[in-house]
Amino acid sequence: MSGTVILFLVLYYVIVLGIGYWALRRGGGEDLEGFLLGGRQVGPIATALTLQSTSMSGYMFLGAGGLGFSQGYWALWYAAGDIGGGLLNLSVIGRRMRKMSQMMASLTSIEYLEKRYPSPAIRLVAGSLTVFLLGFYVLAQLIAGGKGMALVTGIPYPLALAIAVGIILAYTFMGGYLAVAYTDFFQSLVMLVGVMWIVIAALSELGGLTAANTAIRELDPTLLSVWGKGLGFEGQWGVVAGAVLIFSIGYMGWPHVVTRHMAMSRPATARRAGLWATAWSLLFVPAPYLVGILAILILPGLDDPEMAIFQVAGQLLPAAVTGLVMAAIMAAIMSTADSLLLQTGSIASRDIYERFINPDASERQMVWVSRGLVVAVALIGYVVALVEPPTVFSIVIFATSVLGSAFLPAYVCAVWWRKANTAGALASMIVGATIAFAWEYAGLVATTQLHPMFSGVVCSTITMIVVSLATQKLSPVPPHILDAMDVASRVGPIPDRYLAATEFELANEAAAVGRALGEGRDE
Amino acid sequence: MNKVKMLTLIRGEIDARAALYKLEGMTHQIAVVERSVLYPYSRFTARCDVPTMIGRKSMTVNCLVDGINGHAATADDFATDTIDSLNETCLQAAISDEDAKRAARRTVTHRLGKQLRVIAPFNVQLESAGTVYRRFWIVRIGDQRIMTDSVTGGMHPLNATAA
Repeated sequence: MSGTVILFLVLYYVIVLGIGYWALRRGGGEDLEGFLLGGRQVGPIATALTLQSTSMSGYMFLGAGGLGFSQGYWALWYAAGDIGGGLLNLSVIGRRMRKMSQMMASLTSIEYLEKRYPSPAIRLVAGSLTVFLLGFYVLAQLIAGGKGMALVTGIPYPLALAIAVGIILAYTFMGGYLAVAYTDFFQSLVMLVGVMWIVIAALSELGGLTAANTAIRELDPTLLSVWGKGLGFEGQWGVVAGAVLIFSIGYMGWPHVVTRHMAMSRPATARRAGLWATAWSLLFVPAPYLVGILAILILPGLDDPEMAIFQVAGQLLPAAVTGLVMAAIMAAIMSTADSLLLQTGSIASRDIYERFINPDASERQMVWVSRGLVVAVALIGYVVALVEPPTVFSIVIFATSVLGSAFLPAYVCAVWWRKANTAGALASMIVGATIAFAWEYAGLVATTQLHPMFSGVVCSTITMIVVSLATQKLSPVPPHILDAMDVASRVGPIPDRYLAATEFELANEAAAVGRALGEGRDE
Repeated sequence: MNKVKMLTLIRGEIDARAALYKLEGMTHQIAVVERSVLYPYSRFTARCDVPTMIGRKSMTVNCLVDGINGHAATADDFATDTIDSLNETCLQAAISDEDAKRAARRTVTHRLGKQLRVIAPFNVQLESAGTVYRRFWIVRIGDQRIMTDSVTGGMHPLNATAA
């Protein structure tokens, strides 16, 4: 990489730090409080871009491009699932789960599971599985950060990896100052413009999409097919289904519980921001896959397919733009890694340590448990990424497969099926995780032509149904949970236009008022 | 329940007429405001330190704990009025101060860590500011009773569990 690239990379960080500094000084802390407490006044577009900047991980910039480069248009199966995933997640469990989690006052998704399926075993199994699988996600970000850093700065991979790990740990332990709305917005804007610029530059270089497709056909017509390079997946609908499912329903095994915040006015921004976020996904998600496909022609001798996006940017974009865009991508990767580590630490300290080991743990003890685990995960990740680095794509697909297989039926049935009980959920989580894990490592994909995600979800769903039905008498669903499910599922005989105005955050108050006034089943 | 006492009420812009018009405008049916209910929350002011690029900054976070269910939530700043409860149904808080404080501490700490994306001690110091009440308007429309928040205008049906 040229000196100009590095100069603009440094300039990017100076701008980001400058924005953060300006925001803090200007608002005298009010800005920070506004951000922390959800009272952002930056508008729906900025809010949407801010949210997206932290959700874009190393997979999008390395894994997706690498898949497009290796398999051609087959990669778009994953993109299709990815685009639809968010929408499906929102429509199937999003609203109901948010309502249920708020009614049960759950601070983490694991706590929510334990309250829905009352048993300490649920929290122990779910917490341990999640911490284990989050470690894989962190590993993917570390590798992505290290590879990107090595390419941008030209320093050897081991050192680049160490620097990336160091920066990510610093983010996690000292950070926060970068997590203000303005810096996230700036990062997201640079990333979006940059990736679109790479797509347009690549298409322009190749004379448009039709010309590019013609050239790819001359090179290898199977790259244009929906069955992958060399028609390697021809007729394997089980694998195709898994590819689509992985990011569509896989997301559902990865729910977010929102801490309740009482706004003193109606939060219209959040609703419109959701629409903008969806539009952003439609535009952005296919782009890295497409750049990977176009890189087949632009970089025919590329050694590491996962570097396709970085290399195409370096080759086609002006040096200054390359520096800025790469910096934004690196910042996004590190910020995602930081979020994952934080989540890992939070689950370990709150859901395992405080719940099972030291119920009277002080805040400081919890912080040290979190930090200890985060350092351990980062160090193990560093060693694995150094000694035998797997591809970012394979790590993310593996972790999502196991996670989705373990948790999908538990989360979906939690809000949709009244008979889903503790025994069913526990068995489903164990069976789903085991099947997906074993499928991958026993090499059953090739022999069965079924994706681990597909097999895992089918088995965990069947287990949930069979075990729940068989243990209804032994392990009945408590009445207060059935009531909460009722509240979450419907709001009564009210016209549809009224539904949009219903504030599910008031569900608890409504239940208490209803009881006091003599309404409802549980009066 | 209707014993006269002075209460601290979260000031709201939605009066009975506004609550009525809003619901009628939405459903195009005749609605009637039946009564108002005052709902109790334990109010805490949490003073904490957060790490920023210009050093640790002190900040204050409001936290309200539902006096009946015990669920905590951070909250925007709000103004209050002092009223008597003579003509309104006032619900009684059912959770202990200790439980409320524990819920508030957990929620504030969790919220700070999650939003700031940082693992750090925040030295949260909680100060109890007594009980505040939020007024909900109970509006009947057809055979349905709707609860409308006098502060945000948010609504929720009362007999949802029977739906």
